[in-house]
Amino acid sequence: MALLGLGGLVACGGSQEPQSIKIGVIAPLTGSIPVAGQSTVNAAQLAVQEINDAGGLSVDGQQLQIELLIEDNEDKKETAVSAAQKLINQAGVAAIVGPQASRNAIPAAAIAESAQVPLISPWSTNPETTAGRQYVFRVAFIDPFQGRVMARFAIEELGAQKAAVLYDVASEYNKGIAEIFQQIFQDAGGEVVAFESYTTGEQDFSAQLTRIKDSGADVLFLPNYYSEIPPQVRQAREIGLDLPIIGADAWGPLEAEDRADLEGCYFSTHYAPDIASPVAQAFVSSYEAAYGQVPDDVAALTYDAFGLLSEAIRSQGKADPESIRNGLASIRRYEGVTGVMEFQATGDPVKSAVILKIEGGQFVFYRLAEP
Amino acid sequence: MRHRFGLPSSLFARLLIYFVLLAVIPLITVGAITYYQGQRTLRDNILDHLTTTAILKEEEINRWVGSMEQDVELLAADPTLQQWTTVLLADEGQGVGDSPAEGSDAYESLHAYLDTVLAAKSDFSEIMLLRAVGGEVLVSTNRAQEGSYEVTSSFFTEGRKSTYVQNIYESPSLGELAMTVATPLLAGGETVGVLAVHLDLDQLDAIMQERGGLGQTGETFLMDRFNNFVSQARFGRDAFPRGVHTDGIDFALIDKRDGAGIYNNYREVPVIGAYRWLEGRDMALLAEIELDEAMRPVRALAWTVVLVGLVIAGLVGVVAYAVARQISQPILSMAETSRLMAAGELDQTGALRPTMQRQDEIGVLARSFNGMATRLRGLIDELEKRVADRTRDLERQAVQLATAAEVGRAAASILDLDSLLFRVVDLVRQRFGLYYAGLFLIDEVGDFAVLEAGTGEAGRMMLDADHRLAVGGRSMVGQACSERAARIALDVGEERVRFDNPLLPDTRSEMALPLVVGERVLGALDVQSTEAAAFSQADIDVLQLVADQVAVAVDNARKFSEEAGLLEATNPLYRVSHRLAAATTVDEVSQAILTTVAETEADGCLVAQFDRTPAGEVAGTDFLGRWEREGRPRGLPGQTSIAAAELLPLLSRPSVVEDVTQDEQIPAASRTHLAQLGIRSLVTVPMRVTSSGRVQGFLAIDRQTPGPFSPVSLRLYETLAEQAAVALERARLLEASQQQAWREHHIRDISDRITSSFDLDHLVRTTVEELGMMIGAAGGYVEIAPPTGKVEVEAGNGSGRSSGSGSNGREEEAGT
Repeated sequence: MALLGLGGLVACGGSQEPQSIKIGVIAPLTGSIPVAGQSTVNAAQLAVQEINDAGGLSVDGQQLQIELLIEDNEDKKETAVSAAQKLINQAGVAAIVGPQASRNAIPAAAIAESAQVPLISPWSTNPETTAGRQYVFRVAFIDPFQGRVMARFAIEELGAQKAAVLYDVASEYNKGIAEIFQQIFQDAGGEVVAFESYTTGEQDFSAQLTRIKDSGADVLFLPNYYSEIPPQVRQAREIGLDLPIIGADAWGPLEAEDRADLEGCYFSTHYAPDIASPVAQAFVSSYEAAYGQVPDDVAALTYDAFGLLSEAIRSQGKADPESIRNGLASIRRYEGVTGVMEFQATGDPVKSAVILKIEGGQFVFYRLAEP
Repeated sequence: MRHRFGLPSSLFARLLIYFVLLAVIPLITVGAITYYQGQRTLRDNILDHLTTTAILKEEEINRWVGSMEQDVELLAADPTLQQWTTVLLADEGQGVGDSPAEGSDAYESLHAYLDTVLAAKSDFSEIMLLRAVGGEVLVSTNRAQEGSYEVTSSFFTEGRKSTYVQNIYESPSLGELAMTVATPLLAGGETVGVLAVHLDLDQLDAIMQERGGLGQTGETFLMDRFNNFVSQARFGRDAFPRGVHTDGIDFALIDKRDGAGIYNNYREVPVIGAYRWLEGRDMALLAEIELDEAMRPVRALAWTVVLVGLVIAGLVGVVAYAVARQISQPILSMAETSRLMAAGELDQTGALRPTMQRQDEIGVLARSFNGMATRLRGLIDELEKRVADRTRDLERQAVQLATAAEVGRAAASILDLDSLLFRVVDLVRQRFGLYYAGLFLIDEVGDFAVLEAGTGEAGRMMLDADHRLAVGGRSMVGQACSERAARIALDVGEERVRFDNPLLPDTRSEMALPLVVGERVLGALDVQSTEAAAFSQADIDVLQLVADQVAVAVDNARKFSEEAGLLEATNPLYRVSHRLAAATTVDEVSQAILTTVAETEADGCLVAQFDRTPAGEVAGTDFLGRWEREGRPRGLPGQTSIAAAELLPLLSRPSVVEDVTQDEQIPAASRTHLAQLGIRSLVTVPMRVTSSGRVQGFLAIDRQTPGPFSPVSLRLYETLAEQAAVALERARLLEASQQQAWREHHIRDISDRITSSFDLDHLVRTTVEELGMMIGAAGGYVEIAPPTGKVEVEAGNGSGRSSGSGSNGREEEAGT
């Protein structure tokens, strides 16, 4: 047997100077929340294009372009994990943006933390994503805040006393926010009369909805991903469950054709295009110009994630994982498309939330919720 | 002198170096080839072995996974498990979100059962029972996992359909690598749950750790798709947070191909490794051994080669030293010997004796060399002896010639005949180293030769006894007198006509030489030696000269006494005799003649000497001198000799011409010519040695006025010619002797140079140059004939060369 591949092995030996900054993106391009995935990629590409068009980033006295490496996590934990490993171990990325859903972000964050590569999840709101981790950051507020905002909104704005919750017990985000809502609502003197769950992928919620109808609740909280909301609302209406429905930020990517059944519903989210700051306005117009649609909160948060990332690289003048982490950790205040963020060394920003109302198929700013 | 590449000029050193190089270069070449071939073979063998190991491990893994699938399927089909599962699901209901079943009998029984199975199956690390809808973990041997949801996990989604092996993956719920086998749990044909088993990866690692002859550093390991060690317990996870990258791993994982090679492993240690991408298992399998250990046998081989090489080189060095010494020693010895011989020490061949014993070419060379040296020594010895002999002869001859001259002077100065005769016999006996010398004069009657002078006691006694021998009698003296010729007895015992004198008993050789003047015999010179064959031709010539001079002296003495002594001092004859006796060279003789002629009535004189061949024939004429009286008309330069040449036939015979213009014997042209030169009368006189009758040359005396010469002048010219002939003969002999002595001296000089310089080229060149210079040659060459007889070496100072096979035996033996 000859020395197969020996020449090739030798040829692989040399190391090359990085000519670009490799940033990995993990997005749910397939699976149950592909809209969020597409928004992620759109915003990432827009942000990177803007940075690169402006000459890239100065690294060690050299202007480097950002190179995007996009991985689809299929909205699966294990795929999110393998995507993170592929990007870190094989592509050698300096940082990762994503995954978006907390159920994917949490295990991927574990990998990034272990590999000491900074990971910014734009959309994940579950505290577990960043908890106890030095290399993991997020752009979104966290669920305890969101859960409290919606619990108080139910009581204070809707005057609800009895609440019902239907959530995906197999999904960290859904489960986490549901439990917080339950907690806060009860603490605020309300009663959670129905706390119904299902598991990811289930399509028939009639049993749970029937129990909710029977519970006498006067508000229904659906802290589920946007793709699950239309069937759940439709099935609720079908069985005559005609009570106010509220949701959380996972409703953000709801598409226009799905919003008809949700007329009059409220949900908490990260930003409202109609009250956008000049920074946000600029982003919205760029995004609309590029993709022909109004950016959702996933897109806005992803755009902000790249803003944070470039801010960190600029401040350090370096683009290695450790420097980027240090740069992110040293950011105290950042004004992004989704508002002003203040970091307190936890990787979680303190920022305000907005409550939107669906009126005439549009998301209409209803009120602001300060932290 | 050193070679320009720095090799020493010593034959021995060069031989040694060449021998060692001859042995060491192939040794190094063979050693290097052996080493590299060994290394290559070993490397190939190891790569083969590693590849084989990797293939075997892959098969083992597949077998193990296959058996795990069967085990899980068997477990799923177990009636106990099915029974309790059915009960548990019935207890919980099929609805989603129903409360957990903890504490129920079914739950506890299942737990106990699965725990038992887990304990029995070391290959399982966790057994789980999942609800078919939602993927909730209902029962697990790891209780912490109960209540979690694996709804998106592949082993659940696929395991619901059929038995499924989820290859190595990073488990989000475990936070570590896992390999999971799942199979549907059926109840009444419906899938009610999924039985999932996380396999114990340590068991997988155990398969990898089974050594297969990979030495101390050999190892096999598995990598997952993303460059993580499958056996994290063995390698540690924290050490490689961003995956492990080696050439082997990346080829297998990223390029998904199989191969083998040499590269640095995960610890940056050079290894020989074989890598395989396990297609169905989503893993890479690597088998590696550290290069250092793998190549150890080759290094051992290298050391052995080096060691053996050094030993052989050492042995070769010793043998080469001995062989080089054996080859070079005799040559060096010969070189030294020839150097000494060239320096003149010819007795140096003793050192060659051991070499001459050899039977090889060197022995032949040494013997030839020795033979050449011996013959050369013989030649030189012989040459020296001959030179010594010749020198001695010449010395003797010189002494004898000096004696002859002395006799001549004595004859001219001593007018008392008795004193002269005694002086002559004493000089002759003494200088010629003779036993006895005696002079006889023929009495007035002419019957007897009477002893007038004799040497020693015998001479005195014979004189007292008035010893006399009859002319023409039976004695050598008597015969010499009667026959006017020398009588020589080289062995007296053989001589028939001899008087055996009792007073001279020791005589072995005897010679009697007649004393001749003109046509008259005056007596004889008798010499005797105690040695046989004592007289050489040179002796005879010199003694005859002595005899001739004595004859002239005796004749003069008689004439002086006849013409009454008063005239003797002024007599031209006396002066002629005196001048000629004093002349020792040809020029002096010629000058004496011309001076004498000038004192006469003549106006010119030409002295000519015949050039004779060794056989005695006249080959030409040398004009020794010419005198002309002052005021005489001169011809053009050279006309004299031209005239002489024209007149040679006339001049070479005795004649008297009273008027050249009238003489019929002279050609008409010559007559005019002679008249133009102012020559009217002419007399020519041959210079004849009376004892031998040999004509040495002639005198041509001329006058401006015609008419006869006076009788006194004619008599004077006759006597002058007669005595000049003797003087010329003496001078000729003396000059020849001196020339011979000079030549011999040079030959000796050359001989000395030959013996002192033994460089052949120099020797030949010196010989040619010296000999050429000595004999006045314009050029010369030396032939040295090789044994084949063909000329090989030539040296010379002139052009011309011949080659031929006519070499003599001596040269062949020399074998130059």
